[in-house]
Amino acid sequence: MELLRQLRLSIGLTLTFVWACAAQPAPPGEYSLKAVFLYNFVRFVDWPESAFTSPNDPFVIGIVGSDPFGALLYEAIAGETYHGRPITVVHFATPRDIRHCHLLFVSQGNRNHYDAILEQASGQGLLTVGETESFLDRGGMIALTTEQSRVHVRINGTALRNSALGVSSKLLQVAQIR
Amino acid sequence: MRHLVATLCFLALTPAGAQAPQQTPAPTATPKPLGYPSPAELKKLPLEQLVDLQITSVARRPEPLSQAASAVDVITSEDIQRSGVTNFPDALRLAPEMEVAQISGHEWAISTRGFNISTANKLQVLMDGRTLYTPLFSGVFWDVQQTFLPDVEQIEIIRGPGGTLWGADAVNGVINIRTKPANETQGFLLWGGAGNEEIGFGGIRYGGMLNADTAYRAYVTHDSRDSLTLSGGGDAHDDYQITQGGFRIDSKFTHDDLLTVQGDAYGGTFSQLNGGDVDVDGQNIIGRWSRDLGENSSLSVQAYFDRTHRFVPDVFEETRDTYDVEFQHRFWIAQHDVIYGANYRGSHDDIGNTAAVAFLPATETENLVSGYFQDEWHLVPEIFSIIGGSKFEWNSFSGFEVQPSGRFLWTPTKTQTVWGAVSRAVRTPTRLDEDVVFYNAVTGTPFLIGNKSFDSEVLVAYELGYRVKATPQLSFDLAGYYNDYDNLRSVEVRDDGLLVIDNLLKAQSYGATLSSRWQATDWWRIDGSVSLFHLDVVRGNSTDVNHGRGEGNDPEASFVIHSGMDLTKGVFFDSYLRYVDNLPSPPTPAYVELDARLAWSPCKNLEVAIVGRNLLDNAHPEFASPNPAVVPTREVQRSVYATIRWSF
Repeated sequence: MELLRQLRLSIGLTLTFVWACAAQPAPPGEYSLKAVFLYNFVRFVDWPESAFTSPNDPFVIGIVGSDPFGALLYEAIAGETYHGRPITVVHFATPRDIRHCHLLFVSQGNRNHYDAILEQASGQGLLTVGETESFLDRGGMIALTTEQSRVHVRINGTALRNSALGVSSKLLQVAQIR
Repeated sequence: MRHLVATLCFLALTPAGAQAPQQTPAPTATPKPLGYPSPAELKKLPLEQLVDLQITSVARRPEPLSQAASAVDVITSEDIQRSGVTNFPDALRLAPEMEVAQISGHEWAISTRGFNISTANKLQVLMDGRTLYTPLFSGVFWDVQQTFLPDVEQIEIIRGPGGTLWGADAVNGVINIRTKPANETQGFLLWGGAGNEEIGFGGIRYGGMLNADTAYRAYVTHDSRDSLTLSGGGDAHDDYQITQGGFRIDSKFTHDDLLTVQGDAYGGTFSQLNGGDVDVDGQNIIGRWSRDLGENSSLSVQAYFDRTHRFVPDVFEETRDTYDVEFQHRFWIAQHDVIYGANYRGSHDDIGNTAAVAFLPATETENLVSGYFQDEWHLVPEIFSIIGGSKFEWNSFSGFEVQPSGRFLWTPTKTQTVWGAVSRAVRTPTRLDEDVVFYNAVTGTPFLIGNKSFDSEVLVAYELGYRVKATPQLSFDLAGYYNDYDNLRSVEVRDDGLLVIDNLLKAQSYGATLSSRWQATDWWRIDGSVSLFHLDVVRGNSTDVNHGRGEGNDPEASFVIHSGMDLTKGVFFDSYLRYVDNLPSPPTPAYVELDARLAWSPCKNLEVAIVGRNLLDNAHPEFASPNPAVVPTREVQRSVYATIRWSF
């Protein structure tokens, strides 16, 4: 009897947890979403052929300073290519370490070093992506800003026009251009 | 004691360990939060839907603690959750060098770097910009400091003088409690629990959006605790209950403007061993507007009103209204990070005097006007800065006060920080110093009186600190100080035998805290701290009736060690070993206690846990009664409770 009572209790508890857990799905994390945005930039931006030194060159995403993504970015680009080129990720510890890449992600932690980073990152075929308005003020091309629990795409039109990159209208439609 | 290499945690914010620009292999096994859509799932959504998605709470990126030019620590909301604590005093026990001693069911002595008594007066405490201490005695009534605990974002603790920015009475330290913005507390959250000592605690919060730019939340919370026990046996008859409700609205009404309005109201009843129930209630409302003025400049203005009422039968009754207006401007220019501001505070009280104690006059308005500036000059960017500033303040008790501070911050390598500071801070006079009269219970004549010419207590503090990140997994923080106090409060014997409050004591204290954090494996973290303290009181010409021991009752050594384990998916085990050395006067024995929490989270929005506190003894005293014949010492008992936390 006692055993039966305990069994019933534990089944009851389990059902309660299943029910409690079945509540509305949780929203995604900030950097899951931003990782998917980076992948979408690879899809909706065109790089000039001159940005690649050989036909077998991979598409390189660079991350300078602290990396807020961890495994999330790898998950977002898993199995994807840029026109058949595999996509890889490299890390640059400091602005001085920045080397050849196609998309450079500049996390908020770098906010005191935007000038140094953008100076180092000036190249015709390089898309610079930051997280703050001031990144755009300093000459960055795209900012993934977080406001009121949503991620916004803000574009520095001048900087993009001066580059050799082509941006799809699909991306422009969801972005705020300034 | 000394061989215990203890702890703290400055591991946060590490640049992913990357050295040279080489292709980084994908990290394995970074656990994805349960229940969250993965990037692989999000990829399937069209671009236009991605910009409409609401995300979970935004990770805050405060200034890395490792680069602060003071002894600073943060208790995060995760620390609070993992410890299972149910109130602020117990949360403060998690931090290095905090002295927390429970005296009765509703009284705590809380300080840092010494001078801990039931009316400790050298700590500035704020919650969301509102000052929590009372000008009655320049201390905090901890029994009425509540909020819905899961919505606390962090408790920042600065040990050492913070007078330059935080104002008077930030002598030995500053505690700054911050709740989460409303947009990070959306939906329902139910949190609560019960046990043998915790009769029932918890509450419910709901958050929603008023429009696309405006988020709100409202909560109600209740805490009901059993009484403590008496040394030598018997119930202390000091059970505790309080209920509080509140709200917060955050509106980003333009791109550059953020407006916050928040308020709380509470009511509580605390039983007492000797005497009728203490009744408390209070209401507060605060508005804050901050605006970005371009890239390198921001402005904020805030105002609040705070009313508190406390009735202690046969002792006193206090009704206090506080009005506060503050303005702050911060800007960066060249290599300077400059902050300046001004503040006015008016506090009007109405004291119900009794045959035991009176404050004369019975009503008083205290005015405080202050201005401050600070310049952080990055002389060699990223390597060396100096920080200078001062607060200038006029108050209606002691007049004009200046509290300057000079600091340096040297980061010789990426993993090491050295800092130092010399500061002056004051504890300004209060009603308790100037206006109090204690009456002899038999004759009805005064036996102890305040002193209208009481002067500010003054501290000159010398601090030095060193932090090192020995490996990506192991970091240490060492902070030491030498504090030189003058004009400390004393109780002098006048020629006619009357006791009078005066400023005749001096003291020097010195001490150090070593803390460290060690991420032993990806599932096991060990952190802790060990603190040493020594105080010499110089009595000089003073006839202090407390022999210089009335202003502090502090342990010379203490430590806290925390082990946090993520046992398997969704199962967490945390344990805390705490040691507090004996207190000298009134003598209180040393104690070691163990707290532990086992939690199971079957999914992201549900967690159940069992918590044990003070597991090593049936009961232990933390702060002995100065007069056991009248009020026996109360002891804190072993406590076990179950908790649930469910969001929906």
